[in-house]
Amino acid sequence: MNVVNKYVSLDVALAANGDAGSASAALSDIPVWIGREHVYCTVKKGVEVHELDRLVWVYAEMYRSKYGFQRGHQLVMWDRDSSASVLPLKKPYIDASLDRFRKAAPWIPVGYNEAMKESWNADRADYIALVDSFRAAGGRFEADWAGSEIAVVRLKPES
Amino acid sequence: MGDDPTVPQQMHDRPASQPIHSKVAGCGALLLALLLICGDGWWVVYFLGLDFDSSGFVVFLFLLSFISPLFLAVFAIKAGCQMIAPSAEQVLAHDKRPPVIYLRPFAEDTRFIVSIPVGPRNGGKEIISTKAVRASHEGAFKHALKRIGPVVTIGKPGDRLAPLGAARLYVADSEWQVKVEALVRSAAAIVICPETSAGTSWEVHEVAHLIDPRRILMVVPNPKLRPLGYARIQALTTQTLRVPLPTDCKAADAFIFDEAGRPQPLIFGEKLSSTLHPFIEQVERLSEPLGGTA
Repeated sequence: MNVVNKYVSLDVALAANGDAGSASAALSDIPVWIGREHVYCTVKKGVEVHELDRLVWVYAEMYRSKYGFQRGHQLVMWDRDSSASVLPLKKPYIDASLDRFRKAAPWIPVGYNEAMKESWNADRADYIALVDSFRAAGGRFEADWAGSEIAVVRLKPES
Repeated sequence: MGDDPTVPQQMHDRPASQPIHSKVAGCGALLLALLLICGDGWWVVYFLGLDFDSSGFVVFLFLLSFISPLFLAVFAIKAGCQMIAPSAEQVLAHDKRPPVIYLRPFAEDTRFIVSIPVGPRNGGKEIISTKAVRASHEGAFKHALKRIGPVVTIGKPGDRLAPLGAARLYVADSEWQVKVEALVRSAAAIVICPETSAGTSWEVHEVAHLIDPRRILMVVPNPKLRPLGYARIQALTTQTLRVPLPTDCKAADAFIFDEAGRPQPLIFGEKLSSTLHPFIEQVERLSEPLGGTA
């Protein structure tokens, strides 16, 4: 996983990564904030910092238990090492969280659909190469097969 | 590994390793499965006839003692079937029709389609996939194409038991290309899953140059679901096929080809034999066996 480090507070994390003074209260409800080169994520015991350039796919997912008693949302960020950071997220903040990625890192595909999932699972090297090509060109990720849906997933029974 | 697909490649230097093929062991495994199932049935009848305190623990023990032999039985049935399944040599000796050769990357044998993106996840709630189906259509091809001839493929080196599906031919790394070329020349039809790896792209090149395109069924990643996979294979065909696959294809699971090598898309339906009917008819019309039509 591309966790650069874990910090006890946002201020410490920002200062350590050269983004001091730029986040203000941005992490109060939305669990992610994006600096110049890093993504700051609030977790249970502090702040996790990821390298922005290593992220290759971001989407929100709605989980539900088998009979629908337990529901919720979370933000999923996949990195080029094929591992994901998952952050609990309240439904009203889904769009704002995803918009932060769209604005700060337009080359990252933001959203979900079957074609993206299958491409990730079966054609990952090509997928990452495509994202890299948009990043290198400094352009917005654009592919007619990419989607902007929210993934609907099943919660593991014991969790 | 060189990039020129026309140059034969030595993948590794592994000798031919044969999986376990034994009618005695296979029948033994099937007998064991039968005994386990019968024993399980007897155990249910016996247990239900007992006068006992039906506490949760006792019920748990009963379920465990009931389910475990069933799992073992399923495993024994599968292993038994694999051990008695005929090898490609046996199939070809018994069925004199020109075979259908199935060429694919070995990874395709174990690829599954799941409902969630795959990879380790850190944090958040744990989720599970609600489906896991084999990506390969090998079993369905075997049944759908048996009208043409026996379906044969090269086995993955190191298989302890030959997977069920097409009959497998296990060859040494040093001779697989010679064997594949001989098989392709003798084939009534070829089912090929192209890939850009050196071995598979060599196979695509050989197939494209050795046989009538009407005998080829090219299985591709469906561009509707795997646009990048399709684009990769489409690019490969620009170097190997007379008429490459279309770049603007919206959906296709496979392509068949006409006499001029023009690809026609096929989308697999629920019943593969119906979907493949045009291909089967086309191959049957070409009654002559293949052989060096390049």
